[in-house]
Order: sequence, then structure tokens, then C-alpha cells
Amino acid sequence: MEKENVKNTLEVKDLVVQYVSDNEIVHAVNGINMTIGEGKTLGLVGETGAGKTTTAMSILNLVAQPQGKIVSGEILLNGKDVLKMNHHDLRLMRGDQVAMIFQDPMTSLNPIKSVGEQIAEGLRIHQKLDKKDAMKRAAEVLELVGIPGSRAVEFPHQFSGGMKQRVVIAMALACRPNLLIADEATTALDVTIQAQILQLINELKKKYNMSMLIITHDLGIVAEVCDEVSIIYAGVVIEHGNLEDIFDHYYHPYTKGLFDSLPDIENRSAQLKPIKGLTPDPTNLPSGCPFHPRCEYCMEICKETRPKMRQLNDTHFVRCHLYDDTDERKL
Amino acid sequence: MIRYVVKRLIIIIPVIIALTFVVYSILYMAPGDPAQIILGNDYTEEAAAQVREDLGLDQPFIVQYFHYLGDLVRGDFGESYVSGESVGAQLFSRFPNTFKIVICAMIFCVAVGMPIGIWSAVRPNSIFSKVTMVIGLMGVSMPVFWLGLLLILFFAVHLGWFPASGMDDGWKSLVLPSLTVGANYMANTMRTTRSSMMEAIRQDYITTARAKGVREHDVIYDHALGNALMPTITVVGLNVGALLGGLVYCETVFSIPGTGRFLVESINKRDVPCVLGCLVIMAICVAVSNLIVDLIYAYIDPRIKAQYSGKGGRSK
Repeated sequence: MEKENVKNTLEVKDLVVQYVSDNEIVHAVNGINMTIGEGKTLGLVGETGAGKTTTAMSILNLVAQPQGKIVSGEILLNGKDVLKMNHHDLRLMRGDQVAMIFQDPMTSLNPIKSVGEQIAEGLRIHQKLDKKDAMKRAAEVLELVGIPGSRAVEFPHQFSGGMKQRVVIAMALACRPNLLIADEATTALDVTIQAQILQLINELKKKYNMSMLIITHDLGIVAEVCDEVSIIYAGVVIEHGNLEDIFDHYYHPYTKGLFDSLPDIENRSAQLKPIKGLTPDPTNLPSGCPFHPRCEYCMEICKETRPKMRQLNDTHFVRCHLYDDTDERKL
Repeated sequence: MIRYVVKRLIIIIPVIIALTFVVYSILYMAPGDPAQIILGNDYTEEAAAQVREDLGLDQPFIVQYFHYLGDLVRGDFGESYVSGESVGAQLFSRFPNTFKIVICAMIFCVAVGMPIGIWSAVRPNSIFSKVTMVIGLMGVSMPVFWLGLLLILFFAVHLGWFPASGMDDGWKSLVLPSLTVGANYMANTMRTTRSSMMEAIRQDYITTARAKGVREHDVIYDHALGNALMPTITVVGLNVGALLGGLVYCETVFSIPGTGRFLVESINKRDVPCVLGCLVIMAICVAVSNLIVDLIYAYIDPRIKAQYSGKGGRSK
């Protein structure tokens, strides 16, 4: 293990992932970089199809086979490259060091196994507990997420949606992972349940000093739980910073678009301002900056050259030609 | 659960009554006079009237039917019009042969069809998968009697490995009939297993299992297979009826003294009690296999179990 990397739970460097179908290549992730420090929470924000889930699945090296292909890049987990691990090491890593909470609790639990069994499974694999001890631990983990331990013998269909998501969280937490990935973990839930789940995630994160990667398109969630935010568009990070950088001093026109499209409670008669146009077709990305066809600040250079990531201060980075030779905010 | 089994067993009774009624009506309306069949060359008007009176055939249809039903309830299948032997005894001596072939065909189908279905679902683009799909299509489309003849020609006449007919050679005489009647069945099972496995493997909970670090072997055989089993079991169970239908040809081709051939012979002779007896036995087999399918469902799927036992789910 390299000493300099030890502080960072996760480092993703220039990750490129493609899905290859008959004649087309879907450019899902096109050079993503991110770093999550120990005990820190990073929010990955972007529209549908921006490559968020693909990035998350790459961290577990679970990109859908055989179409999905991690073309290049490094994913260092506590200093070890996930992409170079063999099957055995991958299995030992999955669920133990990195755990994932999936988008839809309705479908991410196996309907024919009791929730206790499903939680215990990870414990039996990674902590080599026998069946009885694992079930006992599973019941404890259920208590932790606010479900009576006695319900461990029940099956997923006996739980409501919010309860199922708690079960999924319990399953992810069972082995106390260093890194927890929450892929739109609250999207399928209604708002009151969302709040409960977020609070729960926050508490557990503090309790176990876990690092977290939160994938969402909901800026409200980001404000609630994240330390840092990466805005991603067409498979690249276009702006990165801490909460204050992004929420109060965003630089990128796309980030501005995201904030503008939020409904404003104080001015209810105002029309919603969506970002014009659609997410680019990932089989045929625009030249230059992928956002240029939708960008109201688009210049000639944007159509030709891909902008580089530019550091604005200690924490704030932006990838936009507007700031090629100035640090002054132009939005 | 026991209540459910009892309930299901009770439901079989009206099914069998309805079935006997349909079969009895069809045979009643069918051309051919039983008295003529029984008397043969000794046929005279008086003798025929006497026979009809003895057998109760001069009574109205509905009275005859209830007579038969009453006997059936007491376990009496009546006597053959032709030989005068007890139908029950004949069925009793023939049914085991049929049963043995059904069981062998089922083992063949589950032991061969399911693993192939699973393997080809795990690697759907492999050559193995494509070859098995072609074989599966052949199995589904090949008529039973034709396949039986081909197998006899090759394995019995040409190679001489197995007997061409009869049931006198122990397990050897079971091989060809089971393969013949099971080919279609196996192909169906294989195709269903394959498609339901492919469906199951795509599900989110499979990704969840992989993300937990579950071994790929367990992901397939524990997480996916359990869910994929339902359609497969349906096919295995419901096709018992088709299997019994196939056996009618198969036993004829292989000259096996089983229920299927007995049925064909009895129909040819218009031997109503024997035909009825065969059909009742087959109907019971189908009903029981359906019951077993439903019980296995409940064993595998807790959602169905909850419905039956009234615990943890809505039920009456």
C-alpha cells in the first residue's frame, strides 16, 4: 500500500467506460476523476444518462458484462487498484470494503430469501460467521436501521418500500464497509421517508466514520449529506468543489442550469427554467465541450476543443472555456 | 399448509366428477352398440335386449351415469364389455408400467433439460447455448411416434443395445420409451429454464448479490435459480398431461402393456368401461401432479406460502 494514498478511501483516475453494442459504442464515462477522503462524503450529481451509475458500478468492477468495458483508468481503493484485482480479491472487496445501496428497493431484494438471510449472507462470506451468529448479527443490524430484529425472518414482500430500503441499507452496512455507495438511494421513496433515510445515513456515517459516495440528481440531498460535490455531464466531471463552492459560487453554465431549474418557493408564479435541449446521445457526443449545444455562453472554441479542468482555489475546480484566462465568475 | 393440501385434494373430486361426466356423455353418444360388441356373432334382438337390461343400458342416460359414478366412488371401475374382466384389475396391472415410464421421462427431463437450460442461460451467446437451442427446437417439433420409430431403428435394430418392444428387460426396456416420450418434455423444460434463468439473471437482486461478494456459482444456483424455478416447475408439472398423451403413442409404438395402449385398444373395441377407467386414472395423475406443483411453489416462494397459510399475507 502506498503511503500517500492511505488517507484517501477512494481515488478514481481518468476512468473511461464504454458499452459496446453491435455497431455502436456508448461513451458512458469519459475520463472521470474523483477522490474521497476518509470519512468524507462526495456527491455525484448529474442528469439521467450522465454516467453516474456506470461510475459506481466500475468501483465494484461490476459493469454489466459482456457489453460494458472499462477501457482505461485507475480505481484505487485504499491504494489498491480495483481494476487489477483478480476474481477472488474482487469478491473479498465487494460488500466488505465497498458496499452499495441500490436505486430501487422494490427490486434489489431477492423475493424468495428472508431479509435476515440476505443480510447474513455478507457476514457469512466476509466475517466467516456461522449461520446462527450471522443471523443474530443481521437482527442487530436491522435494529440499527430501525427495524425490530424479530422481523429478520420475514420476507421482502412483507415490508413497505421505505422499510425495504432500510433493509437494503442494513445489508450494505452489515460488514462495516470503508466506502458506502448510495446510488439514488432515496429516489424511489416518498419525501417523508427520504428524509428519514437521509438522516439515518448521516447518523451511521458519523458513527462508523465511513466514506460515502452519494449519487443523485437531487441537489437538496447533496446539501443535506455531502461534504464535496462533483457535477458530471456526459461522463466527465465539469465542476467540483465543496458545498459552499457549488451552492454559492458555481462557475459552470451547466451547474447554473441545474440550480435554475429548481422550483422557487418564494416566487411561485415564476415559470420553471429547464436546461434547454436534451442530454447528448452518448453514442455520438458533441465535439469540443459536450455541453456546448445547450450552453447559453457557447463560444467558437467550445465547439472545437475540449476544455481542461482548471483549479480556481484550494477546493474548487471547473471545466469550461469561459475561465480559460480568468478566475472571475462570469454567470 | 395442511389445510391447504386437504382443500386442494377436495377440489380434485369435482374435477374428476366433471371429467367422468364429459367422457361418459361422449362415449354414450358415440356410434356402436355395446350389446352388439359383447354378443358378436351370437347377436339376436332378444339377446341384445337381455344384455342391455343386465348392464342397465336400457335406462335413461343420467341414471346410467349416476350408477357408474356410484360404483366408481366405491372403487369399482366396472367390467370390460369385451372380456368381462374387472377394469380395476386390468388398470392395476398396467398402470405401473406407465408410471415407471412417466417417472423415468421426468427424471430425464429434469436431470438433462434443467442443467442445459441453466448453462445456456449463463452464457447465452456461446456456441453451446446455440446448439442446445437447435436441439431443443427439434425436440419440441418432433412427433413422438416418429422419434420412437427412429430410436427403435437405431438403438434396437441397428445397435441392439435396447429391446425394441415390451417391458421384459428391466431398466433396459424403459430407456427408449422414456427418451421418446420425454424428448419433447425435456426440450420444453430446457427452453423454459433457459428463458426464466435469463430473466432472473437480469434482475436487480442479482446485482445486489454480486455487490455483496457472493460467489458467482452461488449467485446463479442460489439467488437466480430459486426465482427461475417457478416457470420451470410449471412446465414440468403441467406437462404431465401432455406426457400421458404422448404415452398413448409411445406405448403403442413400443408395444408396452400400459394404460396408454390399453386406452387405444379399448377405444377400438368401444369398450366403454375400460376407456372410462383409463381416463379417470390419467385425470387423477394430472390433478395430483398439479397439486404437487402448487405445493412446490409454496415451498419455494414465500409470497405464495403466505397466501396459503394465512400468515404474513392476506388470505381467507
